[in-house]
Amino acid sequence: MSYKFTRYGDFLKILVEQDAPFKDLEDAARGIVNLKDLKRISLDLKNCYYIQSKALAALIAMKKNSAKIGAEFIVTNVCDNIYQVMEMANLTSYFNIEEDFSSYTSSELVEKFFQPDYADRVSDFIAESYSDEFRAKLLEILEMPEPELKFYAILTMGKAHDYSAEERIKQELDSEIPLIVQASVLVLGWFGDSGSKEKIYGVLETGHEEVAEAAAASIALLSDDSDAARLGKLLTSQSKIIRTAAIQALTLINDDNCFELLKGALDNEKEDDVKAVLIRAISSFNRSGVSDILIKGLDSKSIKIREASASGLAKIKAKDKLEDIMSRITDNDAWVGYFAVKACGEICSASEADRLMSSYDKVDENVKLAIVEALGKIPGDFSDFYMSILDNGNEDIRKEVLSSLFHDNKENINAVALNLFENDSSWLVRYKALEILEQIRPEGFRDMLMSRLAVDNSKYVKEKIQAVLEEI
Amino acid sequence: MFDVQDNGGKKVVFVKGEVNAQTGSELKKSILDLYNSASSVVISFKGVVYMNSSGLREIIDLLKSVNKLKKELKLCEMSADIREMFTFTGLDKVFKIYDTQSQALG
Repeated sequence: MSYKFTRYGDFLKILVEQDAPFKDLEDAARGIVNLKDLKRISLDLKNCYYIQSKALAALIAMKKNSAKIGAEFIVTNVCDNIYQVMEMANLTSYFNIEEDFSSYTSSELVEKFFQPDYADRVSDFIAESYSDEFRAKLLEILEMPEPELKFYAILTMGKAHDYSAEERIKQELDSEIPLIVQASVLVLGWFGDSGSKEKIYGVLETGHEEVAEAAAASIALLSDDSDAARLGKLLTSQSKIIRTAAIQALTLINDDNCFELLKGALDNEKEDDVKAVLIRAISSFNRSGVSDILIKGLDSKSIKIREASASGLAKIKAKDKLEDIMSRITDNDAWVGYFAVKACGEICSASEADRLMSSYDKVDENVKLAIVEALGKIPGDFSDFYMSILDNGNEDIRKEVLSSLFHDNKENINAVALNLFENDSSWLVRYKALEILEQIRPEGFRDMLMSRLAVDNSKYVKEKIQAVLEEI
Repeated sequence: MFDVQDNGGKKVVFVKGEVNAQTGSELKKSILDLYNSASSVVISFKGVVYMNSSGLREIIDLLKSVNKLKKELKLCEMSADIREMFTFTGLDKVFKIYDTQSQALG
């Protein structure tokens, strides 16, 4: 027999061996009807790497027989090959397909740490089902040379709050492999291991990008009153990586000292990208004076700083600075206007949106597009404005207007989308119109699609039409 | 600082304002009390404006205590900033974090 029934109360697991003959699967299907008081039946294919198409009939019989005895039927641990066979037979939606890591041994599970698609989920499963067996396996991995396995082993012990492994994890702070140091630093931060803080400072001060962020995070988690000053000194480091990591740690600690240190660093910092990090960091503080710093940043020569300032103003919803922000919409530098409009999208109410609409004719194309995007975020019906700019020569603006109109006013959108789908010169706009029509499904939609399929000159629009036709 | 709703035996805690060392410690104690009458608590961060590493430390401590009780703690409805704090510290791997309250309750 190439299958095995194992019952756990009202749950039955059917484990199938590799290359199970199709007659055995039929036999298993027949066996289901004789069982009683089952709520769930799982067919576990973890050992199977291929399935004959005729065996699929046995799987269908299993599902039918499960239904006869009132049990839900699921198929678990389906490998890619078998999934493809099921897909070809249109059976992937017929079966409930799930993952069941409980079928695997601890050795089989940790092998999956090598597979990026599985590693995180397997780690979560082990942490949730943590046992002495798993613990022993993970400690065994720490003695092995494979960095990926060690990385996940350390993180998994951290997730499982395995404090008994703390001393062993500390040893990995001396590893030469950044990935392993990164995992150790993070876990010791989660564990609140203040004894490792000095060593973690050492890791940060090496300036290796892969581990500096993790060190900053853990230092913040382990911080006491002395750390702000120490991190403040790192803000003048020669290394951009160390300065950035120090900013991140100070942002997380987020007290008055940290705020003053970051404000001071903004005055002294020479590099624009670090200044932008500082601006973002400052916008995370609930202190007076933040909005003034961000407004000043909007006038910076650096696009990165302007962007950081605008997103900061949007984040803190700087209503008190709305006039300052709006006055920059028509700035001579179109990028200042662009970022000012971006911030307005997060801050303005419908009554304040008039100013955005009245600025539309006075600004560059990129600001125009930002205005349409911003209006899309403000609650209200701006459909009259949208209708007035639908003939804009910029395809991105027409596309965005179409989306916003669909959102704001369902009465107008049908005729507008039909018109643009049939007549707009841009395939991007026709494609967007089709996406909207797909949701509205107007009368005669199918005939219209058929006629457009014959004449549209864009392969993307044609493919989309075909996909919609297949669906309807 | 927070409101509590009973949702079919699961408690949902709506935290408001700032989560720092002081408010985080009070929050931790109050939530631990809720486990006397519930096996699962969901914390909604929808009303949280600011949180710092001291507040985060209190949430980690809370999880440690909850795990010792063999009960369940879920987090949901975080702003992009708060979520970023969890991601940056790697704690998104440690906590069960959901986008919406209904997902957390489901």
